[in-house]
Amino acid sequence: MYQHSTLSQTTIEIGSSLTRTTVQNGLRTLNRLVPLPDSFAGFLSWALVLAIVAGGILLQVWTSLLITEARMELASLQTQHAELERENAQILWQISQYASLEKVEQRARELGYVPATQRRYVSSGQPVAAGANPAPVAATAATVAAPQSENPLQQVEQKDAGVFSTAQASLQSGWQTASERSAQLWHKLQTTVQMKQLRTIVEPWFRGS
Amino acid sequence: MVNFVPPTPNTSKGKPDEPLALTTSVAERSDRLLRQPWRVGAVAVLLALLGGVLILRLLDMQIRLWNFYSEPVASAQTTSALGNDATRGIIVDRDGEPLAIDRYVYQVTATPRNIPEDLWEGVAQLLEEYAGIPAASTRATLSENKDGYYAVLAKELDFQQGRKLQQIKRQILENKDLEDDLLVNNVFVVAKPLRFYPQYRLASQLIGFVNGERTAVLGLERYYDSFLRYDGVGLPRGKWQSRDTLPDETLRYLPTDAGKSLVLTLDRTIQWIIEDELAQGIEVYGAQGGTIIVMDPKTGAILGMANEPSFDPNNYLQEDPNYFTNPAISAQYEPGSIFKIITMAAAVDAGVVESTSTFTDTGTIVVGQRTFRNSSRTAAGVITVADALALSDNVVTIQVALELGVKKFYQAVNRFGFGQATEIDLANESAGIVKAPGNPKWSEADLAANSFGQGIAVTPMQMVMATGAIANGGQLMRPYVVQARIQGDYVLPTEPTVVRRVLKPESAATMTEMMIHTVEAGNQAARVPGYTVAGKSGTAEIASNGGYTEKETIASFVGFAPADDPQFVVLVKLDRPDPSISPWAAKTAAPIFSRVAYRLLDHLNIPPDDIRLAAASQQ
Repeated sequence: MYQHSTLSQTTIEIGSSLTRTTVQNGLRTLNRLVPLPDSFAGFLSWALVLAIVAGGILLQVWTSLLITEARMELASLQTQHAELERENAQILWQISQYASLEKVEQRARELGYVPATQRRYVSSGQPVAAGANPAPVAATAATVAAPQSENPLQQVEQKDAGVFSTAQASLQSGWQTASERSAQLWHKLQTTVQMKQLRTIVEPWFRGS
Repeated sequence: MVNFVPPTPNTSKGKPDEPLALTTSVAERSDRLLRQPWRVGAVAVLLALLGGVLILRLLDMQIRLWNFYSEPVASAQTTSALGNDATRGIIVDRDGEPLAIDRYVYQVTATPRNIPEDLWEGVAQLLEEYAGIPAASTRATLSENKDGYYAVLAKELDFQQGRKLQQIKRQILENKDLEDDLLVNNVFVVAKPLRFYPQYRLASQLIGFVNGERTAVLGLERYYDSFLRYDGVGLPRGKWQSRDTLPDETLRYLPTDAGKSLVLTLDRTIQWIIEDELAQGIEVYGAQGGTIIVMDPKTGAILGMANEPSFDPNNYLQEDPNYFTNPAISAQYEPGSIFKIITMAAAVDAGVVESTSTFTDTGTIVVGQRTFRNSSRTAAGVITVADALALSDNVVTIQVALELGVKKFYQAVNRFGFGQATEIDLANESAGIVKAPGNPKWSEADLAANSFGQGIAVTPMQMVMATGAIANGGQLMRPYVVQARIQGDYVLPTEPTVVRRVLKPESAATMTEMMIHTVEAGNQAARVPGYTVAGKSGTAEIASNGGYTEKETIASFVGFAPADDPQFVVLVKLDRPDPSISPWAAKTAAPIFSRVAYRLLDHLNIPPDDIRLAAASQQ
């Protein structure tokens, strides 16, 4: 057992020694192929130059990798941007399709609206009509125009005007009533105050007497 | 062997040899170290480590991140539209309503020679399933182009379908299923922008259009092509402002990043009104075509510019190319009697006449051996200059021009901008033709003819610009259509430009009074109830080979309102109204002006004179 283990150990030692020798031989060969300076200062300089060259190469390759990575990321972002842009364009297209004046007019007519022909301006509490609408071009060319009374808008306007004048009359009447009532209240208040003042003067006189 | 540390003489007390022995020992150790072969090994290991890091990183990119860097997927991700297929700037009106935008469709193409025949069916089924492209059509296209490098399988695939197909393709490529890869590897889905004009025919000649090759044709699209293009120039030099200076309403549809946009002075509703009235007028009076321009006289901003016939820029291939040009700036015509306001303005400004000056109209006048008559073939007798303008008296106008003199007349014509481009920001503008002294064909008779607008060619835009100067107190403003150019966060607004002063303010005021009198006494059809309007009608005979013919006329009316504080100048021009209805502008163009002015006053919320002036007097 002892002998066996000694043999094994010796074998291992021999193997290890052989490996070491092989490595050392390899390194010696490498050393011959790449002659390094013998002096410490020379070796340091050589190592420094090698480090700079190797570092430069590494930096260049690493930077290239970073640039490639950034480029792909940029391309990806550009794609996303382009897709968003297209989506925006699609939405704007959909909106603008519904917003064309032809569509708006068509929809308004479907809902029962008619073109406004007259605007009423109000000045100082008095409604003032903008005047009659100019005769339509069609009427001047001997084309039969619809009677004014048949124009639903005219009817609405007439109705509006009626409602407006009624409301205004009511408002004026209300204002007048309110003014009168206010005056009456004021008068009553004044009278009450006067009565109180009179009482404060008269009462002590009566009591004293 | 040289020692690293040279022995230094030790002069200190004690053992003098010890430091030398130490130095020698270090030197020997270093020497030994340097002789060791491992040092080259250490360098090799170091380099190998560095290389290993790089290799690991490359492996990481190629194995773990292959999907991100994979060529087909990357190209599928980056099929962004560039060059002519890139997004073009959008155009909105002054309220931000879109007038020209881009929309996207997808084009599906293939390289048939790279797709084996036994895969055609698979490709066809895939495209039918995900994009609705009929399988038969795909099979036929691949079969017809089986040796070709390029075949279009679908030209304009709907946006949603195109995106879906693109996503499917990406998924297939990411899954790395070789069989599926073969189906889509040679099928390409590319987004393609199409120009879309949401208002269809509205202002089509002013905006112009972009054709299928993304080339701008006419109008604003052409004039601002270098700005609107993706790869075009940026904002020119000028007073840039922040984008926030524009109202939110204007900005609501505009791109928020580096996109480009044009904000016009055009008002979509005004454009709608004038196109509506023009179409009605042309129908009622049997005219062949016409033009209406609305301009703000104080700034020169174009609020509306309509022409008939027009075209739909979304279907330009089906339209008549003769209608693509914008007659408002490119059609030259003899303006007729509306030009009398220029003659009168020049004479009043030169102090030759006043509105109350009198002349005798005998019905005819001979100038340079040519006899000129009034269009009514009557003689008005002794009348004032104001009445002569109201009655559109040719004979008196010629007398005024003769009294003004040749030199001053043509100086005034030149000053008002006739015979030269207005420099409006639209493509294909004409300069008009003025035959002035110095031209071998000019004679004194031309002065007489020119004074009432015959023998001279102007564009409708020039006429509006000149009338705008009268409305603007004598200052001629350069017309413009683009209110602001936007790029990203910056805006370059267009500043109104005074070209020159053409009249003294008092002369402009006198002319305004005379034009009000003209509407009140001569062109009553142009009146607008509740408002004071200034204007003048003109019926020009059209020159032909055999001279002028009375049957074919160009009827026009130019005016502005409200006369005391003009908010707009309007020119209405009708080409060849049906003579059996009326060839005269006073009965055709004038009523159209009245309706247009009324609707504009209503739209712009300008109260009638009594309310407006009463409110002004209270302030």
